[in-house]
Amino acid sequence: MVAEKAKNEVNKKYAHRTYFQMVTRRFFRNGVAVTGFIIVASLILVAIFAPYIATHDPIATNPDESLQPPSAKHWFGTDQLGRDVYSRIVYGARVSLFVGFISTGISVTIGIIIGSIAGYYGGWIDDLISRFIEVMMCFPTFFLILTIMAFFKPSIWTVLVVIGITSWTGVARLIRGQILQVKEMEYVQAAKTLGMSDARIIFRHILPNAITPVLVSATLSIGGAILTETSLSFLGLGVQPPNPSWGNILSDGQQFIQTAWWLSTFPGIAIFLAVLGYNLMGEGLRDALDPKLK
Amino acid sequence: MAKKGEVLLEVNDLKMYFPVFKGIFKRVAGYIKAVDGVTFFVRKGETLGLVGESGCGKSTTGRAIIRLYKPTSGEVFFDVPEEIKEKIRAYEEEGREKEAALLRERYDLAKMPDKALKPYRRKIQMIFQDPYASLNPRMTIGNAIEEVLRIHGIGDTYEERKKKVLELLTKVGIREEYVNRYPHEFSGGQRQRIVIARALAVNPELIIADEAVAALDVSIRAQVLNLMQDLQEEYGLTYIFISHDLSVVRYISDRIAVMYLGNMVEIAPANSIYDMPLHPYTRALLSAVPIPDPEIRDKKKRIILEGDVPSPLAKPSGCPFHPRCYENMGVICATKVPQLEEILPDHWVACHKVSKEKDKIRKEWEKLQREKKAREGVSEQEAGAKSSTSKSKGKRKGR
Repeated sequence: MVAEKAKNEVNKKYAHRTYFQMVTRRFFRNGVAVTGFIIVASLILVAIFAPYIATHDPIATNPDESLQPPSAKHWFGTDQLGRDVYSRIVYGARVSLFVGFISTGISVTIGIIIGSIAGYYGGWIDDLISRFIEVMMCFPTFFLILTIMAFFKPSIWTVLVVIGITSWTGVARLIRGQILQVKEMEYVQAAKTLGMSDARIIFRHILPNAITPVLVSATLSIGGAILTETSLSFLGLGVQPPNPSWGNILSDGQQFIQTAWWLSTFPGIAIFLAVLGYNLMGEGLRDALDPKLK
Repeated sequence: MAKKGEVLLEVNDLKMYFPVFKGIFKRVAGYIKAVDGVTFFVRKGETLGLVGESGCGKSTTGRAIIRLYKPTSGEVFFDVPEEIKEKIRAYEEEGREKEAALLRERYDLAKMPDKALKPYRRKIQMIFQDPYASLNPRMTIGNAIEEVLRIHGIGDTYEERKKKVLELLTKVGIREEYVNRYPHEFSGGQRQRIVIARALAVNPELIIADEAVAALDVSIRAQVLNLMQDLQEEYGLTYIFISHDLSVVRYISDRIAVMYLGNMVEIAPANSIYDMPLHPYTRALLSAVPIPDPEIRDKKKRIILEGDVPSPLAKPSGCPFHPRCYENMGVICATKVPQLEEILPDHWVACHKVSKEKDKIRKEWEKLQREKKAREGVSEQEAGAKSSTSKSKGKRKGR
């Protein structure tokens, strides 16, 4: 009984707010972050529930109704083949988010692994990796992607893999620099003198302190990846018609820009909102992850 | 475990060289001799002050002992019985290198493989200079201390460990309610207390404090120093106190070791070194300590050294101090490295000039001791008459 009471006493003093709880709390108190979060969350919902939200079949053509302006039947109008632009944009959200998440996932994973190795081990390994990164960075990414795409059959998978493997260099450099800096901190040395294992030092003490900028840059680069996919689709190297993607809707729209403004305006707004949402969320995340800000 | 007064840590001829690379092929262009043959010992329960100017290798010595660096050569024995040290030396003299090396891997901290170090990580702890950088900013202080208890298997359950954390915090004067706070929510002095609590968590025997109070305010500095002294009393801790601040070192140390350019130049009991500094460098160093009383200050002559400390990349031959020494005796100082010699009781000095004049110095010392005794006798009588006044300094130490 007494022991139980003493235990409660100890636990009360510890009344926890975990790091995760603290971060979420700070994140949701930040107006900018919440705005970004709402945009991104609604895009994700739209992508998941596309079949229920769309009013028409996005691929079905209807020559009778080509190039109709926005109306009650076709909210965002129709394109030159009579397809409903609203439904195409709704389905296009799937492609955009898919490309954004997966290709960023690929590039961040590669970047963190390679950058951490370079930063933690240093020496000739670091030299080798850093030179390789510099060589990679010499190529303009977009033209590199165009070149690689020329060798493969254009599809959504090739797009996201190619974006992923060409854009890890920034992340790698970022995390390498962070690790170099954190590695020399006295708390890492203290951890060594306290007898902690290498794995514990890396995962508990170095990575959590090095990863924040990477998380933030990852959110920001989702926006970048969406833009790259859009550009590729615009150039006809990304998602192939008749499948909709924001990029190819925009690309279709450009020939009718003087007669049918809705064809290029609505996908443009969608792209703008998505990129804005991720950027706002990234900034909010950066503030929320900093323990020094209350 | 060593008893109070016995030798706890013995460091012999410790060397720590850092290679300097040059060019794209990383050719070794030379070595920075940060620590170049340092020998000393620390007794159980005492505080050894390690002083010297920036870059003289005092921090490197501490870090090499705790094996943040692997020493280039030399031996570091921590709590090793004399018989084993003798056995190792005997083996080496007999040429039984293999057996000696095996024993060294087991007992000599300088030769021990990394994996075998873990038990010593409990026994030797280090407190770093910058209290802002020595705590992980993403862990609450409670978690940071609990983690240490967990990896060393102290306390069986999480509950037990949490209780221990609260005890430790109370011990160093941090309120229990602060256990879930993050390091940035504390002041420098508080953080240093937390770092001390973390070091105490593993029940260490030796704590190496590397400029532990240098970053703190003067008033906070005294508090932290007093805390360290109280903890020393309570747990029988041994300290190596690394500092460039002579007044701090005088306050806390039983013995003081002076380093210059990677070498130990003088090591002696604190009283002895302040009453009668022998090495020319120590004398210059002590003459630079500011004295608040203008009358005493004006009487004391300030020794000003010429030139700068040479680079540890290109150390002078012979005595490392000879190019700047005002007692330079010429050839011998420039060619022969002086070894530590016991000039006065427990007072070791590495200087050719001092060794030459040791008889004169010993006589002076005896005279000084006699005078001091006489003075103390008088003051004790006075004190007796006024019925126990100012004993504050003795009280502090004796508590």
